[in-house]
Amino acid sequence: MPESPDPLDRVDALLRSRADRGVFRSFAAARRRNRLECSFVWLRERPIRLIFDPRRGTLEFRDLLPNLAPTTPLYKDLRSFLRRLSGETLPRHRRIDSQRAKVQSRNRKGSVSVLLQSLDGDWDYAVSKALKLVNEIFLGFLRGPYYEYTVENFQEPQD
Amino acid sequence: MASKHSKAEHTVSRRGFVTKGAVAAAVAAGADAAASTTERHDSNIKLPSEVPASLAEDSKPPDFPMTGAQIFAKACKAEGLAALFCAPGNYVVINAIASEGIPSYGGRTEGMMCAAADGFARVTGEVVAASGTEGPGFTNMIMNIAAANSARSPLLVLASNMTVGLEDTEHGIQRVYQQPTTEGMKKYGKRLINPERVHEYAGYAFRQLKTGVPRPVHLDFPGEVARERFDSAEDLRFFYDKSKYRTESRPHPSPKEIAKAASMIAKAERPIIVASAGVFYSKAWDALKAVAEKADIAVVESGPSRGHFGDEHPLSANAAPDALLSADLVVLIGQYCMPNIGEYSFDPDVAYIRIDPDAADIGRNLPIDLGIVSCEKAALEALAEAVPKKRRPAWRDELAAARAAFEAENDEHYKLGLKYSAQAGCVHPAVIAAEIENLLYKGDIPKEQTTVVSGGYGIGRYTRRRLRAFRPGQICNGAYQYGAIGPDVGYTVGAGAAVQQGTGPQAPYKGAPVLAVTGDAGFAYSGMEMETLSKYRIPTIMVVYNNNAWGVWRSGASGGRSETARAQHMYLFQENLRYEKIGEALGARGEYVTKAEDLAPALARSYKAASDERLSTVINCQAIKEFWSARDYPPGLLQKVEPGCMAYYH
Repeated sequence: MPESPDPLDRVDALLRSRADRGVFRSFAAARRRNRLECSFVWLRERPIRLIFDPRRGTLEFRDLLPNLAPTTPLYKDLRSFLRRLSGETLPRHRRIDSQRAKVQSRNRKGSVSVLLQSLDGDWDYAVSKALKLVNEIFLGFLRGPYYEYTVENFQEPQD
Repeated sequence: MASKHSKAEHTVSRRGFVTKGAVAAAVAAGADAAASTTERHDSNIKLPSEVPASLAEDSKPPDFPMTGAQIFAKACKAEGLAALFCAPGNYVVINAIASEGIPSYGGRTEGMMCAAADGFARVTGEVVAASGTEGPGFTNMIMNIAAANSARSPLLVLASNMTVGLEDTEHGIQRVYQQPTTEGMKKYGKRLINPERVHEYAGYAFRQLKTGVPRPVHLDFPGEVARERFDSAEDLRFFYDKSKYRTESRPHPSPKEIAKAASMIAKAERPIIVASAGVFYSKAWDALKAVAEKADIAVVESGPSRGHFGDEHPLSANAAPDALLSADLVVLIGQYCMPNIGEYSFDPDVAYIRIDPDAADIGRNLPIDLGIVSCEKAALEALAEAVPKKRRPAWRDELAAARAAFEAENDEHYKLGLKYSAQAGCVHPAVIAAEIENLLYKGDIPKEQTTVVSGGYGIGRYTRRRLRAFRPGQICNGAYQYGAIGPDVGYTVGAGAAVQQGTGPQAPYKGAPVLAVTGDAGFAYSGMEMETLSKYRIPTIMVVYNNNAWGVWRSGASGGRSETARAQHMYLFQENLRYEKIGEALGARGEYVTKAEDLAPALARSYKAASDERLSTVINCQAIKEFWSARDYPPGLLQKVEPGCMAYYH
């Protein structure tokens, strides 16, 4: 797709296209202080909050994983998992190219946000990889030995 | 340890014993302790001669004059009703069905016989009936009607229902309005009122059961209908052959849509087919294989049964969960129970094609890029013609790598399981899963031989990872969608009967043993059906994972949280209960396994007894509830990835 002159418009359109496809539910977006703030229901019933800051080039999934203290093994495992997303253990089509985007996490009082920062301003790539990143966290990483965490925090069925 | 066993024709005589612990329990309960003993004694269980004599009786299909029940039974026979599972009640109907020569089984509860019918359907794809008496028998079936509805099983639910003439009076006993009770868990239901239309309503039932997406059909029979006497065909309305009241025609896909699907497949780099219940019911496994192999399309299974695409195939993604997120095109075919976004492990930008006989369901839950209304077999045959031949070596390599990674993870669990078993002095579920896999697929038993009922809750999350299917109908997925763990022994009666009869895809394995996995919680619901398995000599190895608690006991574990401490007792059982003795008491063998190294020999002995003597065994595998703790015994209770071998939600 041709690159939009306005990154906010472009990212907004890219996210809305997922909502229009039926991937997201309850999609809402608003612009505040030159940022795009979106809220949508996607993989779990808990709404996801995504903030796009074009100045920093970041797509931040704010408070994506709650109740996750920095000292827990789960959080340490998450950080390792995020590092592996750019590594060669993943097939090339699943990798996040470290030349084009950087992944990081922030833990504020046990609430973990996950960020993807675009390094080349290719917002199509950044949005696509950011969504795949969250998808991999929920459908890959959290399927590991974290049953109780997912039950308690994402209302996963216990049966 | 194993008890000693001996067997005479139609007689199961064995040595039973009662432990000191049981004596103590009996005293504590105020029972006559003198009746209990630590001495061994003969249980003297016998199969009455009437059972084999009755089973050996020739069928005696009647001719006019006939009752309404006999007219209905004759219609069932003509429609190929594969089997009947029941507990007594609805007498004239079940007797008439048995007289027609339809294989019939009588068990201990209507509910579990309903589950047996469902299990039979899940491993054969054939229409099957369950019956119970009015009122209590019918309502006992409800859980398993609902489970069959979730599984989309072609189940004919029959129940007697007193009389129309005394409706609303509470005259006598057992009166209930049945049809409202099954609302929301059936495809079609009808209280038969007009006796002369009994054959016509058989047609209504089988039209629903044999077309489109199957689900239960519920007919209730008031006495006026079942017992009405008909002297000739002239007394009946709409009394004609099935070729006149329903069609074998199936919806075929439009060539334009198939061309579009073929084009999407050709352009995809990593296409995958999710082959679900509809592929099995339409017997489309050969067409599925042809499509997959022609264009190197991966295949992953979902649904209440497994095996329509063999796990050993290089294109199988059943045991390759890591590869699912790589797919760039998903073809859902016959996926009657639809997952929502986030339930199947696919990429958010993946394209979806959905093929289903029911247009009204296409587009539900998952967004579609192409919907095709068609019988699954017809669609796959058309796709096999239309897709261009293509090789995708990189995709095959990725599937192989994902399978290897999954196996490596299983092996890691096994090593941990051995360590934990030694530490805790019992048997870890990873060991159970591995030893079952070794027995069924890595030893002398042909790997495609044994039909398995894959049940249980926490244990199922370990065993599903290692249970493999190499041919259609080899695995009955017990808890599928409805999540009921209790019917596991009931499902086993049905699956075992299907193998005993050699019905449908079970024909080459007729008479072979079946193996089932369940938990201590599940066994409690349906363990009495070990008697049914023993009575009918359906040779079964029933593996019971005994962790002294409900699988969800962690929810009641205090973990330092005051709000759960007071609730904990509700999640726990008495420890070290001897479920194998229930098996022994009901005519089966019993094995109590408390060490990892004793499990393989116990499985081997049990399989031999099943093969050689048609004796069933309950293997009570003693574990501890703490194995579900990821903190104390990582990985604890496992999570799952769907679709594929771990799936049971969809």
